[in-house]
Amino acid sequence: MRDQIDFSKLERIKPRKDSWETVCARLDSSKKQKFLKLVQTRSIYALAASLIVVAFVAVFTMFNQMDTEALLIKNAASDELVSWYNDLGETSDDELENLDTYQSISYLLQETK
Amino acid sequence: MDEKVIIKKIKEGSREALGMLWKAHSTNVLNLAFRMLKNRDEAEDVLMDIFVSVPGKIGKFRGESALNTWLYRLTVNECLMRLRSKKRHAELEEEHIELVTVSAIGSKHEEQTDYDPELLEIGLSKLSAETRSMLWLKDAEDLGVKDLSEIYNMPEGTIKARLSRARTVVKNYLQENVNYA
Repeated sequence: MRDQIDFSKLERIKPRKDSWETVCARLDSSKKQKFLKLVQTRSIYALAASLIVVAFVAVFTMFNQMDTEALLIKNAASDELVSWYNDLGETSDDELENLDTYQSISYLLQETK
Repeated sequence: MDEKVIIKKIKEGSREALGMLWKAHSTNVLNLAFRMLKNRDEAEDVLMDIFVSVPGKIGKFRGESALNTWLYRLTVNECLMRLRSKKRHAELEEEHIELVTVSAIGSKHEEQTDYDPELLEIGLSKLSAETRSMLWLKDAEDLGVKDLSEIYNMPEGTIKARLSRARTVVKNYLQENVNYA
């Protein structure tokens, strides 16, 4: 075309010799980074899941322990009562007399509950 | 290797196919970036950035245009982004070119085709980076107006008008300076 600008005399540069190697190195490094990111993300998920499990186990154990303690106290109290009831009338003297007032009241209170 | 095969292989992650693309188009991409940025090192950076991004971006390439057109579009966008971020794009905006009318040069002047390369460089620098790249792709790389319309996402009429105005600006500058020389 007659109207065109003639660029033929302008310098036409060529890529530097190491440019392609640089491109390859950058591509390799981005691949590695992607892999590391994937591993990192998965590790974070695994760690978060582990923490949730540990927290759940800890809470569960705590509640279980509280229930056990309450049961033991309850059991201990009822054993004591049962033995006292069983022993009533077995001996010649009235054991009610041997009990101090405080103990008697507490047993009676427990019984009425 | 056929362009479609190259695209397919690059999508599959073939470094060899990317190497073939490099051999075929790296010089053109570099020169386009150099024309826009007027800096060899920056142009080289753009070239490398473009080719590093190709494996990630080629998935979006639908094959409606030629591969070189797509690469040129990536290059123009990358260069414009760099220029905007550096605020160097204010070298000469399109409105300055608007002031020059096509009739200013006219046919009175004898066509000067044997330009001094340095003068031509200065003449080109009177254009905005985008218009300069447009003119380069049309007159040096011999791309069609249709391709340019795809690259710059502009109607063909606008491309033609901008090319015409750009040529006028450059030729006007060359003519004035040759006459004064």
